[in-house]
Amino acid sequence: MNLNELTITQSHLGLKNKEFSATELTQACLGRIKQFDKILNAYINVYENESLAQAKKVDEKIAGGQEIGVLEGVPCSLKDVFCMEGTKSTAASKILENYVAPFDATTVKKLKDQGMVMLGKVNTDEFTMGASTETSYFGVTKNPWDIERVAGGSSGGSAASVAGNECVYSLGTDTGGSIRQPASFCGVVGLKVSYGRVSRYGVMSMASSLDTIGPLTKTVEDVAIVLEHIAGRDAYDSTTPNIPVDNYSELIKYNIKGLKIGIPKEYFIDGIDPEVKKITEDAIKKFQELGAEIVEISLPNTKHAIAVYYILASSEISSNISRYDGVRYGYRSADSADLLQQYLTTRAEGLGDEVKRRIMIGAYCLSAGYVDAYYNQAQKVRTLIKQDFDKVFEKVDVILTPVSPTPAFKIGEKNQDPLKMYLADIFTVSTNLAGIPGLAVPAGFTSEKLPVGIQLLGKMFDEKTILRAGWNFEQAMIVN
Amino acid sequence: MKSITPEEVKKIANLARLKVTDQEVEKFTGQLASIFGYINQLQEVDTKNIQPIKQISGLVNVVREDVVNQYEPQAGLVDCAPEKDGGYVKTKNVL
Repeated sequence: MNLNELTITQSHLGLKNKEFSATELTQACLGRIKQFDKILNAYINVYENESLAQAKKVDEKIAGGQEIGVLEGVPCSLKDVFCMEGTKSTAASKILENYVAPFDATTVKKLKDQGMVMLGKVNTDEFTMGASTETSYFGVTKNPWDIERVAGGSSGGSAASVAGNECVYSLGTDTGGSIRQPASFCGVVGLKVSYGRVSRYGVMSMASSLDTIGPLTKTVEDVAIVLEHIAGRDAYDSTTPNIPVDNYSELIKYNIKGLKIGIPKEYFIDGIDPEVKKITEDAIKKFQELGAEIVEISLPNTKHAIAVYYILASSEISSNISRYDGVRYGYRSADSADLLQQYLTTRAEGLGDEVKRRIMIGAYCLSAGYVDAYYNQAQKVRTLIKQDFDKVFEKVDVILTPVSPTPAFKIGEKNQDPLKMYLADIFTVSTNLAGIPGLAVPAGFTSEKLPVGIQLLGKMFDEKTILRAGWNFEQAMIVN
Repeated sequence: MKSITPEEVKKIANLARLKVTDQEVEKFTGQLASIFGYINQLQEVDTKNIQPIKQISGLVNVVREDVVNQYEPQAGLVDCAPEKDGGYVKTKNVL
């Protein structure tokens, strides 16, 4: 096996046992990037010298006989909305194309303290707005399983870099499915955490009441390891409660006998690709074999989730994107007559169509005369959606659903009709509205060899249970 | 709910500080009309007596000690500006 194909646990073991060095591991990933990324387009900026310098420090530590942490010397990629001091942090937008972050996001600082090797910043839909990475200013990221298809979005670069073995793990963001859907499309594991589980400080905001930060990895155990190291209260993010961080990587290894898994009937409608349906049904059978109890449940307000999501997300976006005005950082349009013109042309020239659409939808929903009918109404329906989950979680421990109605679609297939793209998020947005965690795990392949994942949703701050369910499923699938 | 008109798109774009061309107004009007045609379904949902969720964390009034901390990398912040002058960010006249 090539070193860049290793998992976090395998990398750590190999480094500890001196089978290879952090430098060799890093070089393997950099070599793969050089060979493959001109096709894949997962990376926006690669930091070869810096990552090798980080790896060298870890090797010196190992040579000096010191203990290393489980993430130490393990190469990763970061979605380009994470600010890391001294690196270009572009949000895949022209308006931040040359913005060099003067500070570290909290999660980046935590990983730095763990001795991470950061290979580079990876592609995303512009300001994470999209479900295919097609709205990126730097072009689409291809799916490593079929380069005519999308890697998914918005964390397409994260998912593709992991699936393409251009790194060992990645950090992404999930506001409406942006970790889970690309994880499913690329056949990797992706975790959307409970809202507030991981600090959002230093990660460019899209929709502040919905955004989450999470890992994309090759295995469930790797997700648990990364989560342990990035979760927790942060003084710089007042939405992170003081809830203890579990030993996820230990707790996943217990069995799931008697675990109650709910199957919501609203997620098994017409319009799901028949192969996705079959793979999901097979997964349900696998969970039964593992001793779980399957319960039919209903989430009646699922049908309103997309409308609620796009009103709330767009409204919060219109507020969050207003800071990109060419004044203090980023692109500034030249030769403007006055300040108003500077704002108008900087934003017109610097922002892409999808960003503009959502800003306008949001501004409309928040405007006088409409705010009650749209924004306030959406917040109330959000309550109904959350109540659906609260009721269901009195009877079950975990909910199992498909991640997406289809496997990865072809590049260009959905991006001509914004509404068509929005409707593809149908299975993921409710999770963000309710604030609960969701784990995407690979569950099989279609006849065209496209990966399909399933989703395990859990109670607020109960990541340990969905990770345990996911780990048991993953192990059972390997045996096959 | 009335449909989105080009005049409304121009007005909203101006409020959002986005300069738009005539072709863009036409394109965005069609797209926004289609999107609002879908999201207008929410008007039918009965939300009488339902409290809105303003934020999902449940946290209230998270505070810290009222102590002044010096922010260290101050110079780095001004460095990010497209135009600067003597430690200040330079921009067009505000007034």
